[in-house]
Amino acid sequence: MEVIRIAWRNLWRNKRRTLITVASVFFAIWFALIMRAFQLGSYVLMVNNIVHAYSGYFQVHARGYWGDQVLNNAFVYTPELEQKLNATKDSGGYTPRLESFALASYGMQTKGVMVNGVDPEAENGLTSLRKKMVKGNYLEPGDEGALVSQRLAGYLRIGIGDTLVIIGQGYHGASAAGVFPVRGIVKFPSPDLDSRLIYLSLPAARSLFSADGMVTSIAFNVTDPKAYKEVAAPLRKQLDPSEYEVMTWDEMMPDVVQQISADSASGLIMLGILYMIVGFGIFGTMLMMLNERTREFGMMIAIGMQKGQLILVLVTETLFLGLLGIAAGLAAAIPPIYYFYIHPIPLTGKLAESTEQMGFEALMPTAWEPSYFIAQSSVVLMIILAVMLLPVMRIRRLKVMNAMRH
Amino acid sequence: MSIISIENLVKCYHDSAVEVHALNGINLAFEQGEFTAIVGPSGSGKTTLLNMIGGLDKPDSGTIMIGEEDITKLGSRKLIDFRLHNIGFVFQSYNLIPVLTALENVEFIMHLQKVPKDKRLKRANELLEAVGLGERIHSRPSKLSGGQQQRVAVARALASRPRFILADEPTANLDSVSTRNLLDIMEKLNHEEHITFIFSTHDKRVVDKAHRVIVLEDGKVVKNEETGHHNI
Ligand SMILES: Nc1ncnc2c1ncn2[C@@H]1O[C@H](COP(=O)(O)OP(=O)(O)O)[C@@H](O)[C@H]1O
Repeated sequence: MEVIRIAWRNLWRNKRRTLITVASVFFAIWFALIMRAFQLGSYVLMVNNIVHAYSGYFQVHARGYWGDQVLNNAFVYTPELEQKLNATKDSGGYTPRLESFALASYGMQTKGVMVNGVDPEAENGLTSLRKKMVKGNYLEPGDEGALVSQRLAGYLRIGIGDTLVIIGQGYHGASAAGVFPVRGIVKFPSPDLDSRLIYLSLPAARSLFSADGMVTSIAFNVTDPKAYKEVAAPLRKQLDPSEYEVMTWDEMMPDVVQQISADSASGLIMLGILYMIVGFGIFGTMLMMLNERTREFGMMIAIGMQKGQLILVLVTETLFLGLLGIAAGLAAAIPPIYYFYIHPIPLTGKLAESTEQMGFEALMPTAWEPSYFIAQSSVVLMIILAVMLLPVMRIRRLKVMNAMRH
Repeated sequence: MSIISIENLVKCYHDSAVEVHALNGINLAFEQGEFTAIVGPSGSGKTTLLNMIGGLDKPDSGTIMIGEEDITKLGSRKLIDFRLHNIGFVFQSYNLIPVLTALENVEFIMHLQKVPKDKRLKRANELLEAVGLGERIHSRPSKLSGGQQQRVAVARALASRPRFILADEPTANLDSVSTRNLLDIMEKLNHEEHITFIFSTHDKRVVDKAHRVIVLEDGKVVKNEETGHHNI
């Protein structure tokens, strides 16, 4: 009790110094949390966009397809397989696809395209394709028509109701040619996708490519984005690895993962520097305080206070400082983080444009990860504990005589 | 039996090029109820001697018996505990914990001794009353004059019920009124409660009050005599 009282009062004997110290801890943790929340938020958004634009959280392919994405690596979509897919726990649905390259032509224009045969409803479940419609109607199941991406349609100068010609190579070298009335135009933010995507219904694509009953990939959604690996794992176990490969998005796109971890590392380095500055600041303050109070410490030990008790007072003081700063920092950081998690900051102007061109929503959300608050607070607490070694060592070494002469 | 007996006490400092014999073979004994001044020119070893008796520093050789205990043989934790329970200290300045009030400062030492709260409070109040600070018990040291601070220090020193009180130049920073005031209180406590005081001083007026005067020179006792005051 007495320890706490003395420690608390000591804290306020030099109000300015205490406030500066508390403020620096506050600022460090506040800034770290906010910065990191936006950083992590941008990764979540990025992954989310990538996953929902196309890949899904994981995919099932015939073995070797991802390394060699050609139609000949398609596989038969059997009822046994479908049963296993349906039995996958916590999946948010899946969409079977038959994809291949082909030439699309209308009038005088011809262009290499990516033909994507899909189950319209299942595809919409993962990629919200219907929301990307800018003109015309969405595909019906078994539709004989096509959806054309906007830039591609512009290039081909094709419109709703016009008939698109697709020519290419089918399964095992069969020739593929077909005509498809354009049902609708879809718009993708990414210029790359927007200038080469054509959607057909799965049956139409199968008949075009002579790939009856086949698919090239099955893309999965999940109910909890953080747990996609756990959802994929049991399915991977169930499927014969000599026939199938189950790949998560990070396995399919290691470059994205690398980009994120590089960016994340640079963020952490910045935080490290910030923490070091704050740590040294507190260290200096502590040193100054110890020097100013040396005589007092000497006196207290002289009259009969054990060094351990005095250390306890100083440790308590430092802990008060740190906890005050941390508590204030958390209190000031959490509400805005939560707010921007719910209401991401919309980007505007050029920035918004370039973000969208890369295929991402023009938003700056935060990540809501309470575990991260604890982690950051712990880091700051560790720094404070490290600074605490200073008074501990000082008091242990203190010689009453020298201290009193100070 | 003497409450303190010192034999062949020697202390050298060698941190400068020259060796300083701060204490050069001191033999002294103190009795219960003494009111003794240690005097001598600056650098004669007064502070060093008081620090040795108080267990704040260790001699190079010699023994200091306090009761049955040779304090020169105690380990540091034991020594701190010994000080807490046996010796009262009044320093020249910087006696009090700045963030505690007068009352809390006096209580503090009893808290270290683990005296129960109600007893602590009662005794601290009585002692502050006794040193004439009954009105100022809730003041922090910075709000008290130098003389008042020294009186709180005396009350604090008494609070732990020590065997004796050591005071190293307790009046060095006080004006003459405060000096007389502090001495009156010390004298009264000595007279009425038989509290043993051993103090060093430069001040002629303080020396005049002592019942016994020990004169040091170059770390040696050159004079040690009763003044005859204590029968008054
Ligand atoms: N910690 C120390 N280091 C070096 N010399 C010291 C130390 N303490 C005291 N001395 C020396 O010891 C001698 C006695 O000092 P001190 O006991 O303070 O005398 P007084 O209190 O009578 O002025 C002096 O010469 C002083 O310089």
